Order: sequence, then C-alpha cells, then structure tokens
Amino acid sequence: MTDEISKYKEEIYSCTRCGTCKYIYHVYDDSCPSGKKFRFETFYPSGKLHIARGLLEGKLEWSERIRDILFSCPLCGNCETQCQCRQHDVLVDIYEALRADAVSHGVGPLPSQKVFAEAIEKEHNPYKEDHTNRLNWKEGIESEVPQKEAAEILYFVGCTSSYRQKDLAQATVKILNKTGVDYTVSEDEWCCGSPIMRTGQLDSVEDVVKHNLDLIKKIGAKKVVTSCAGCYRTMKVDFPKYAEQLEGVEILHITEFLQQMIEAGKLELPKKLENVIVTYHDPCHLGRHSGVYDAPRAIIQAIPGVTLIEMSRVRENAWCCGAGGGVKSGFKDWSVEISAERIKEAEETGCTILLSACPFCKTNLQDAIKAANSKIQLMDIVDLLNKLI
Amino acid sequence: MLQQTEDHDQISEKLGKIVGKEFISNHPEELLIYSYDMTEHPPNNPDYVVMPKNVEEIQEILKLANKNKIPVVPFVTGSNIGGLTIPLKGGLIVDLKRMDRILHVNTEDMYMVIEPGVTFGHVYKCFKNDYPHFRYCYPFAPPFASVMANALLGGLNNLSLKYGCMSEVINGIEAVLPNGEVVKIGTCMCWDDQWWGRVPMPDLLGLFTSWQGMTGIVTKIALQIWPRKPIRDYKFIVSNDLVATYKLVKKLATADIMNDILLTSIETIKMVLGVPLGQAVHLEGEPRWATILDFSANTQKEYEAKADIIENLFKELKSVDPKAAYSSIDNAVKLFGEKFDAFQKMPMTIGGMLEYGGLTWVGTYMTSNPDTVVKGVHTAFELIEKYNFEKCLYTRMMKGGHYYAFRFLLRFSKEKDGETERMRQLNQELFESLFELGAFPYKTPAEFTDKILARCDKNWAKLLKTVKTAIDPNMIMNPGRWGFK
Repeated sequence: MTDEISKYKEEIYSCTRCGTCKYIYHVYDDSCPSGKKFRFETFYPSGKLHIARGLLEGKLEWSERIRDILFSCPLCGNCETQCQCRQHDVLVDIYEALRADAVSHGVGPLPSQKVFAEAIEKEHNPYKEDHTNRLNWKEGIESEVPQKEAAEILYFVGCTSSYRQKDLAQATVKILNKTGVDYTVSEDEWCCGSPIMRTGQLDSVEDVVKHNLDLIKKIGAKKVVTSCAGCYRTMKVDFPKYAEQLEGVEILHITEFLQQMIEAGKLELPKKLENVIVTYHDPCHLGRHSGVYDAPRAIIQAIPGVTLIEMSRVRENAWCCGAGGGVKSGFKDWSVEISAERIKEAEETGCTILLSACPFCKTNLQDAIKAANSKIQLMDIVDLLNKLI
Repeated sequence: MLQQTEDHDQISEKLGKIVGKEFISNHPEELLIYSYDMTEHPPNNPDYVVMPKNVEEIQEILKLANKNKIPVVPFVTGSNIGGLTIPLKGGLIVDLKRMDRILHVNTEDMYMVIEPGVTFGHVYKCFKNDYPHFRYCYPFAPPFASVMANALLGGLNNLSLKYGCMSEVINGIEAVLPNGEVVKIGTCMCWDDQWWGRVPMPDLLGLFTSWQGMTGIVTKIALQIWPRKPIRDYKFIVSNDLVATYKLVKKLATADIMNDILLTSIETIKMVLGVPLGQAVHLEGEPRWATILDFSANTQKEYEAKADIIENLFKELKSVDPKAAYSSIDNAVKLFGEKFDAFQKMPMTIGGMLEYGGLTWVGTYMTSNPDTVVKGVHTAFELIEKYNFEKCLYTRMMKGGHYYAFRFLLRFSKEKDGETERMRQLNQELFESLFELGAFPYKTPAEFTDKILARCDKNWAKLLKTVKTAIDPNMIMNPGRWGFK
C-alpha cells in the first residue's frame, strides 16, 4: 500500500540520481541538510525518491530505517531549487506523501512527533498547552489587544507565538496598532495544521482547516495577517488542497503587510540609527515555499542607518534553520547542528544582528546561538521594528 | 556474496569499529539504492555500505575484506554510466564521498591534489574563488561526478582536444592495495609534497587507470591544471553534410588552435533543451548536425587570427553544404534559452538528459579516420532506429586529432515495461557493431568484456591476469569485471 506516493509515480521514476540536488546550482555549496549530515545516498533527495520507487515496486518494506531517513529531512525544499529535472517542483510533496504513507503503515512519525496530532486534536496546538490559555500572551498589554467580532483584518498569531515566542505576538500587535488598521485577534484560533501536515498525520487536517476558514469567514476578514512563516505557508499553499479557498480573502505575512504600510506612509520608520549591520535569514516556509524574499529585505533596507549584508546562501538557496519538518522535535541535537551552520554563516557577514521572520526559526537559531556561545543578537524583523518605532 | 569465514555480525561489528557505527549500513534501503545506477545494467545488492573518512580507515577495511575474501567496490557518486559500481558479487561498497578535500593546488608546477569525493562542482568553485587565473577541465556529466573517478576511468573533458582523456593528465596517485598497503606513484613516491610528474621513473600508473577499482582504492590523485587565458569564445555551427562537417572538425583539430570541438546530432541538442523522451527526433528541414567550437587566446590579435581560421574553414563547409550556418554561442543561447546556456557553461548541467530515470550509452574511443567515423554513425543510427530510441550522437576530437571520442547517449524510461531490456539489447548490438569497426568502449561495462577478451591478443589477457593476481590474489577488488570472477 503506497497510496499517497502512487500519485507521484511519474516524477519518482524521473530521477536518475545525477546529484544536482545535493548542492547549490552553479555555486556548489551544500544544499541538503540531511544528506550533508548522514551522507548515505539514501538521505539525499534522490535517495528518498528511489526509496519511494523501491516501495512502489515492492522491493522495500516499510521500516524504521525508512522512517528515520524520511523524518530527518527538515523539508526545507532547497532540493526543489537545485534539481534541474522535471520532478523538481514536487519533491517536498513527494516527501510529505511518503511520510503520510509511513504513518498509515504504522512506521511513522517519530514518537515525539506523534504528540502533535494528539495535542492538536485535543487542545488545538502542538505544544499540549491548554487551549483556553491561547491568548495568555496578551499579559501586560491586554488593553492594546483588540478582540472584535468583526474586523477587516485577522491577525493569525499561530501556536508558537501564542505559547512560546509571546514577545513576537506582542510586538506584532504594537506595530499593527501603529498602522491604525482595523484588525482583531481571536481566542478561537486553532493550530493551522502545519505540524501534522508536515509529519504525515493527516486525520485531523480537514477539521483544522475548516475551523480556521470558518473563523475567518465569521470575522468577515478580508485579510489574514500572520507573523508565523509556517502558518503563512500552510494557509496560502496547503489550505487550498483541503478546502475551497475563501473568495476575496488575502493571506499576508506580516512582512508583506508592513511593506505595504510603509509604502503607503501608514507606518513611519525611526530616525537614523547608529550604523548597524544586520543579516537576514530566509525562513524556508516564507521564502522557498511561498516566494516571499523581497518584502523582509525592503523593510530592513528602509530602516535608516541599517546596512543589510547578505549571507553566502540566501533567498532560494538559503540554508535551513533546521527546525522544520518535525526535525526540531524528532532529532533535537541534529536540528541545532543545522542551525549552528547558519549562525556561523551569519557571523561571517560581520553583522551584529541576525534577523528573521519566523518564530520557529527564531527558536532554533537561538538554541544554536546559545550552544555556540555566539555573540550575535537574534531578532525577528517585527521585534526590531517595534523596538525602533 | 559475502563469504562465511566470519559471520555477518562479526564483520559488521568490525567495520563499525573502523568507520563508526553511523557510517556502516546493511539496511535494505541502502543495499537497494547502491545496487543499481541510472543505466540498464542489472542490479545486484552489496552486503554492506561503508563510508570511510581517511586512508587509515580504508587500509583497515581492505585488510578485513582481504582476510575474509569479501568483495570490495569503490564508489563516489555512481554516475559513470558503465554500471561500474554495481557490486556484481555483493560485498562492500566503499562510498568515498566523505573524503572530499582539495588538499593542495600548486600554481608553479600547475597541478592539484585531491581526494576521491571531490566533484567537478567543487573544483569549479575552488578555482573560481581562489585561483581565477587557472583552470581545470569538465566532462559531459553532471557537476557532481567525481573528478578522480573520471580521471582514473579515462573520461573525456572540454580540454580533451589538447590533452586527451583525463587519465592522460594524472601526475601521480596514492592508493591502498588490497592487502592494506599504501603505495605512491609518481614523484610523490620520493617526496610527499611533490606531485609534478610520473617521469622518468618506471610508470606504474597504468596499474590503476581504467582498472575500474580492480587493483585497489585510490585515495589521492594529482591532476594537471592550466593557466586560464583571458579571452575565451565559442562558436556554434549547424550543418547537414556529415562528411563535410567532419572534415571541418578534423582540419580545426589539426590546426592546433582549439580547446575543444564537439560534433553532435541535432537530437542531442534537442535532448539538452528538454524535448520530452521519444520526441528528440530530426525533423525534415532542420539541420542534421551541430558543432560547438571552444577556443581561447592571450591577446585580441591571437583571438582574431584564430577566429579568421575558423571562419575560413567554415566557408569551405558552406561551399558544399549551403544551408550550414555559423553563429556566436551568445546568439545560440538567445535562440535556445537557458537550458542551452546550462549545457555550454562548464561544469554543465544536462537536465534534459537526466529526467527519465534511465540514461546509458555505448561510449567509445576510436580512430579519427573519416571513413570509419562516418560509417560508425550510419551503423549506429540504423540500430538505434531499429530499437526506436533517439539518435543522440555526441563526439569529441581527442588530443589534436590522434583519436576520437565516439558516443551514443541513450535516454530511456525505467518505468515502462520492457524498455530496460530493449535498451540492453540495443547496447549489446551497438557495442558489437562498433567494436568490429575498431571502436573501443571506455568505462567498459562487464557485459562487453568477454567479447573483447575473446578478440584481444592472448598475451595481453595473460599479462592482465598475471598483474591482477599479483596485486589482488584473493580477487576481492570489484570482482566480476574483465573476466575476473
């Protein structure tokens, strides 16, 4: 039984294992975190396709080894950029299909990832936190946080900012307040479903998608703004796979929204700063998966006195932070190893601040900074703007 | 298969102690993936895949394998298109990709010393960033082919017109013999830090080139590099008359002004451009052949003189082939787009060739005699047509015209029932027909060697056996090839 991967048979059989996916096209730096770490051909993108082929042909049985190979991949999608063959744009879809099949065969996900599905079903977040505490991040700024029945814009906070990176939720609210737009947050927000989609645990996916779409409809929002790259990718790319898209509703990442506000003159930038050198880490879910590269950079470059120095691997070639695809929970140390490589790359720019635009990236990059005792300061773009304005 | 002198668990434990547990696998997943490559050659599982990090680990692996008579197959990326890393007798695949350092670049004597896992992409990056005034050469292969494997197997490259196949630019090697001893060949045998040549001592390099890993594992190789001339240009010619086109190619080769000359069928260009499988065919009214000329110069004056010679020779072609056309490569890129650009830019990317699961060839070196070349094209095209595959001719003049690289690259789908077997039959027939004409298959697949051994000088075969037996008495190194069971 290989129900999900059967849909990709043609693409799976396309791969000759030429190796182009292993490194950045025409630059030849590493692109694949799990391949670089584990080195066997099986851990590279082409290896996963050939495992799929082995399963389709009945030459392989589902096994723990397959589980480990599949779930050690952070689903960063860098291989999709580097592969020059016709299967390139569905590689991550194939990995996710493999994971879904692994789950349906009882070999996946990893035990620590199983928790996501149980917690999301019960508490509507993957962290096993009480759903009724979803808006606890408001503490100290309650009066600044709008909770309306109807609004033009829904600020979709996301689970990580609601329960783990609360300062990002607070900073986002403060910035949104400065723009004067009509927006609200909702205590009825559920997990977007990203953790279960990425780990192949699809049983509750339709429920969470439906619930969140109903919420948007109920509020009457014309825009959904989120400060989480994972929620953004999921709502923009994955929701349409599971439900009819809401007509006239625009999904925006906070950086896209703030760029619009700056350009419209609705958000005044701070006066000139002392010279500050920053670099920017492209979150995979925002960049490669959703194509948003320019908005964060436009904001950074609009701040007077800030110089953006790019790392060697950026935009579609960016090295992953290592947190995605369930790797942070499934392979804790290895996840931070990936991140440590990114911190080193950031340090090479000579920056004092490493910026990103995803709370999950922030968590993992911060762990690597701590592990490496790095002097670099890590901030979300929203945090920086909030501090400056 | 693994001989049962020690059981699997013991071997596994010992290998784990040598390379670390995380770098040995006998999981079915690794065994399957390492059992085949992109070609039609039949798969066979190894018993283990091991990934050493250094020479000492390789020594220990080979001592263990030799003691237990376990077959050993060296591997880096497996993209040789000859099925050469398929472990015909099982045993250990020694995946060398962890040994991936460019150890030294000597700009005085102009060579680099590298490990097996270094790829063309990595060499390109190194020279672009650190040695912009020097260059290496690149094959018609994905950028992630192993530089060392390609050199040891006598692959060709985009300086083959000047220097011949890649084994001809090896200055020296370090290798681990099947008994675990380390041997150095070339000047490095006397001085650890000097790898400038293989003369004038008795040259033992031939014990390792084109032996397909049957005499040991090469752990370091010194390869020549060359100054990069400041001016470089390419010209693109399309034509219809093969005899006249080949005449142009031969004249340009012997004029000693070019870096590289490729002569291909139009189908090859179509494949490179991403025309779908089965549709890369010549259509009426289209040119039949495409030629790419690569040359460089130190000065504008030298460049113009070379360009003049090329243009005048093209006029000769045009006089017998009026529809022949000549253009700068920039115009060809504008016309054909980014896939053509990726093809002509080294190291090349050949996505269109590599996206149907199967790619194979009969790749040969042969005489550059025009009659034989033209006959070879017609013979091969008839056979390819009979089996209904695409006529992808890809040839290259070698070493100033001393010999010719003559190849037919064939895409096929491994998904389609019976197509792999059909391709196997075609390749066997292609090999037999071209071999009769005097074309010798390089990176020679095991399926072809019986025929070669039956035809060759018997004393050559005897010497081959004597040498192999002396170096590898237990026949552990890549067994099943060249008649060694």
